[in-house]
Amino acid sequence: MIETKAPERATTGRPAVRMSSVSKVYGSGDRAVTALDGVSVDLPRGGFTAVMGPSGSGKSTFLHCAAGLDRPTSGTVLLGGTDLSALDEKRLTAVRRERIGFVFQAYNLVPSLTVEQNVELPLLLGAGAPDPAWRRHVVERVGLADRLGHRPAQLSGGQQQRVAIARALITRPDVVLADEPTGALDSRTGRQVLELLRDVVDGTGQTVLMVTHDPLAASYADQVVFLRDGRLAGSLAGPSPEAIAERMTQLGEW
Amino acid sequence: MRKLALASIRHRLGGFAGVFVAVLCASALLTALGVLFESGLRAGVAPQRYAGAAVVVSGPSSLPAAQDLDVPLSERAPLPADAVARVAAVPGVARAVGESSAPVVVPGEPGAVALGWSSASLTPLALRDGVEPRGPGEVVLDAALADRVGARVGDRPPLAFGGAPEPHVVTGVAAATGVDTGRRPALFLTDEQARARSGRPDQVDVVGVLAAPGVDPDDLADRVRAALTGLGAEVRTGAARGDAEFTDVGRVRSELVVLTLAFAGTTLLVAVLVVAGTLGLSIRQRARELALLRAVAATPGQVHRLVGAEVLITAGAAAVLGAGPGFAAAHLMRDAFAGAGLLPADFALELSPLPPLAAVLLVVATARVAGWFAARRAASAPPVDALREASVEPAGLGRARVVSGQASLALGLGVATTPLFMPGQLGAAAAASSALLLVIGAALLGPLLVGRVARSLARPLRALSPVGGHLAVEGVAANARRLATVVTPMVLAVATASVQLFTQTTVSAAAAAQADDGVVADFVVSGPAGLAPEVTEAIRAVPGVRQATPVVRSQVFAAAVVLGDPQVTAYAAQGLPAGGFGDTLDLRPREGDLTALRGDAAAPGAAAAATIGVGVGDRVDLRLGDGTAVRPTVVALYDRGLGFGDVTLPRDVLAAHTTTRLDHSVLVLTDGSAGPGLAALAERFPGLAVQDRAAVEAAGQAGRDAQSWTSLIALLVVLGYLAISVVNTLVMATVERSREFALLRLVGTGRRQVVRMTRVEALLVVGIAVVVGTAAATPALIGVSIGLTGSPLPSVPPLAYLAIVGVTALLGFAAVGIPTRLALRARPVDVIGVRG
Repeated sequence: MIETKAPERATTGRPAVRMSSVSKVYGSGDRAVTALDGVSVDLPRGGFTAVMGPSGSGKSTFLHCAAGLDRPTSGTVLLGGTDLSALDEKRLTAVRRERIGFVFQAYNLVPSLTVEQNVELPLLLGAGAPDPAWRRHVVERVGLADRLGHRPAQLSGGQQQRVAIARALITRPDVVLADEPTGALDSRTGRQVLELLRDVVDGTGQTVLMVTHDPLAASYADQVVFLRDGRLAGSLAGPSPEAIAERMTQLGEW
Repeated sequence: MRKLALASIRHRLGGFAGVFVAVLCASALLTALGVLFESGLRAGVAPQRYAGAAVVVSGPSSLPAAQDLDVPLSERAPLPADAVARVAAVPGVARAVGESSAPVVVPGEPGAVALGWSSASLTPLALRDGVEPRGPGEVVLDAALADRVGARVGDRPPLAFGGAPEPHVVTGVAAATGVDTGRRPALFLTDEQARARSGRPDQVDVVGVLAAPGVDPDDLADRVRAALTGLGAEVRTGAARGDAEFTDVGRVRSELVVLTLAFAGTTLLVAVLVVAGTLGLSIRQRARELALLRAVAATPGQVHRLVGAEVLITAGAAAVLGAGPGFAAAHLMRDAFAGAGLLPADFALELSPLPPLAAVLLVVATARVAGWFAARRAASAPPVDALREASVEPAGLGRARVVSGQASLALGLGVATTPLFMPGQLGAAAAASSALLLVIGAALLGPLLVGRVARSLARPLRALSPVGGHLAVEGVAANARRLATVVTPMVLAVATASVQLFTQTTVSAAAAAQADDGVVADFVVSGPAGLAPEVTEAIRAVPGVRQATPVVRSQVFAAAVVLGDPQVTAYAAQGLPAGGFGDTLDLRPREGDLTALRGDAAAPGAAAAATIGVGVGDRVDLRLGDGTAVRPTVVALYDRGLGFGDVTLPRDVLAAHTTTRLDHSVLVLTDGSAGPGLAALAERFPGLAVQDRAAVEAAGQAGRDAQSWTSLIALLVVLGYLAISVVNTLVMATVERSREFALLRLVGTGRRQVVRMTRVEALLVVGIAVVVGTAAATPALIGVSIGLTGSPLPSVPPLAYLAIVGVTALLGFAAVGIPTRLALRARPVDVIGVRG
């Protein structure tokens, strides 16, 4: 368990995501690789959590398990009150579509669709009817109101990432998961994306989980969880980039 | 889903263009085959001389086969003369005309026929000039014939009925109004003369029926049919009357059906492989996009529906558009077949919406199923794997794929050995099909094969081109799956072309060699419309002639049970005079005694005997050329069946059941002094050709030639489709790599090094295709050769093989080189920058 101060806006009660003793082993026999080893974490509702660790520490596997993209070998993942490990692929897909939003490092958008269609993709795939007011709100918040007819290839990297964030928010998910969202961006546009994520948490009470290896990016979070060799290696609440960098140095190469 | 699918098609026009082209061509090709098939079933040539007959009755034109297509008879089956009276007695019949015919040699007019004057009423023909024939030596010419040879009433043209010309006087010229009668030149004798000249006065060729006014032809046909039960007579009305008038049309129609069916299998297989391959390639190019959809929460079903919608839209449009070119292709093939002599020049195609409809349904369904399989990996893999996998090639092949690939290879090799247990045509046909099985196996195991070959060739290629070779080997090994898709149609092309082409060259070469070795005679005498017995007599009378052997050629039919399935097969047959031909002809007897070939006896070739399942001393059930059943005793077996015909019967038995009853040729053995005497015969018998033994044509060679030309044409069409798909897949695969090329250029690879790399890759691809294709064809060819000629060595003309290899290589290099150059034209930075 991680000691953490609840963010001011956090609702009390159930966490948005609760991972209990989650392990993930790839392969079998001599070639088995343990990517996660008994990790238990709660993501508080309305909080911004960052996951950090050296390469190979299990960050991505952690995110994929939390998202229902990958199944843990053992342990449970609760999203709201739903046990993801008990769901089949079809229900899992429905959960991802309706209750989880995704932002990846790159290749985030379908190149054949316009910005507007990309934002509405989860709805198009059956996540429910569009709510025009919410859509307007989301589009304005990410600052793309005048780019709705463009195609991804006509946008800069930062703009593409903002489209991805809008798409992640369109279904009002329980949690937004971001996998190195600034990894492919320069520092200025990266900062804009992080500010947007922070703004989303503060302005709409959205829960965000972000995987990153950049201490500056992680410093936008309410709390930072460290992983090493698939295990929890402590956490920091409301950290500064310097404090994070120091902790990372202690964890070894990154 | 449709919205997504349309957006995705619009965005990736390039990727879908490949699928579009593949499907369009498949649809066109299948439409063309469908049109030819339907024409074989229903089309024909409109009746000319029978235009005025309401109903035309003829003997059976085919042998019914239990579960198969009817086998067309090679000779006209006559009707007994009393059938005319039976038809005449049917209510509604105004007049029944029994027609007798005889082939007649009119100088400059091949294929002319002499008929009785009463036949003129069937058109009807009216005398334009002069009077009708009243006795022997009098003749009325059809106006078309008279105009062509420039004959007028009172002229005395020499007419020959298989022998010496006899003087005839033209008493009249008859013309029809509104009907063109020029297809087969005709002249008219008195009815008695025609019957006598036909050689079978107690039989008639057809009975033409003139209906009483107001009688419906179809009702009348039903009554006629009822009146003739038991004769096996065929009663025709409308356009079908043309089949009775022109027996060649009826025969080629069934040949057309057989041919299109034979090629339908290959074509369908090729279409499935090509469409599936192209779709696989296009879907693999979008793996990342599909993975993203899965991660963003599309269910596997939704991915399938998306791909399905894309495929249905693309393939549907392409298939419908392919129907038009399909009709055009059918007409081109018709013209080509007519040029090769399979179809009469005036054979009209039957055009109906059915063939394109069937082609569209078939192709779209194929594409849909292929699309489902191609999308399976993207749809069902966990999205994380998909995201990870999308950038790299998926590793191994599925177990099921490997197992079925190996099974297909094993089955193919097994089938190729069939001729060892089942000699003759049937075993050879089975062996030929082994190539397809081997190609399917190679296609399934393709990625493994390509990777392994690339790695084993790494060293020499690196020596050839240090940078380009190295990159190419790495690229081929890493992208084995993509390249396998490209290699498969090329392998198929090489294998199909080799098997089809070299089967024919093997058979023709063996037949020619047998005929050449087997004819011991010095001269071969033949005539344009056959030779009457008097020609043989005249030859025997020439000083210096030691022996003259008349030969009749026809076909016989025998049933054989193949894998529990009774099949009727046609065999080339020759008729030889009872007893003495030993010095003119060497059939290379294997067993029994050929001099015992007289009366109720038969001698089949060893291969045919094995297929039918008879040996010396057995009785063999045969149908002669006109369908008559006989049951002679096998007295001998011989080896040179390909050169001289699969079955030898006594001349008189065979000749009595041919349309003309004339000899095909006479083999002449001399003491060396008969040359001038024989040459002088040509003056007595117009059109007579006296040639030395080198001119001997193997039995059935003319038919074989027409057949191999037609197969060659059909093969060329299929290969053309394959060529298009080879270019198609190669262009798709190369365009996909513009980013890879840009990256190579950015890290400092020279433009020429990239070009050289792709050239080495193309070399590898072409090399693998040629080697694997040849390997897939070899067991089939060895099997075919053993089955048909007894020798395991097929006859492969080196030039033909080089042509196959050359065309494959040319296609491969062009299809890789041109798009590579185009891709390299763009600035690498722009290419890298566009996506992201």
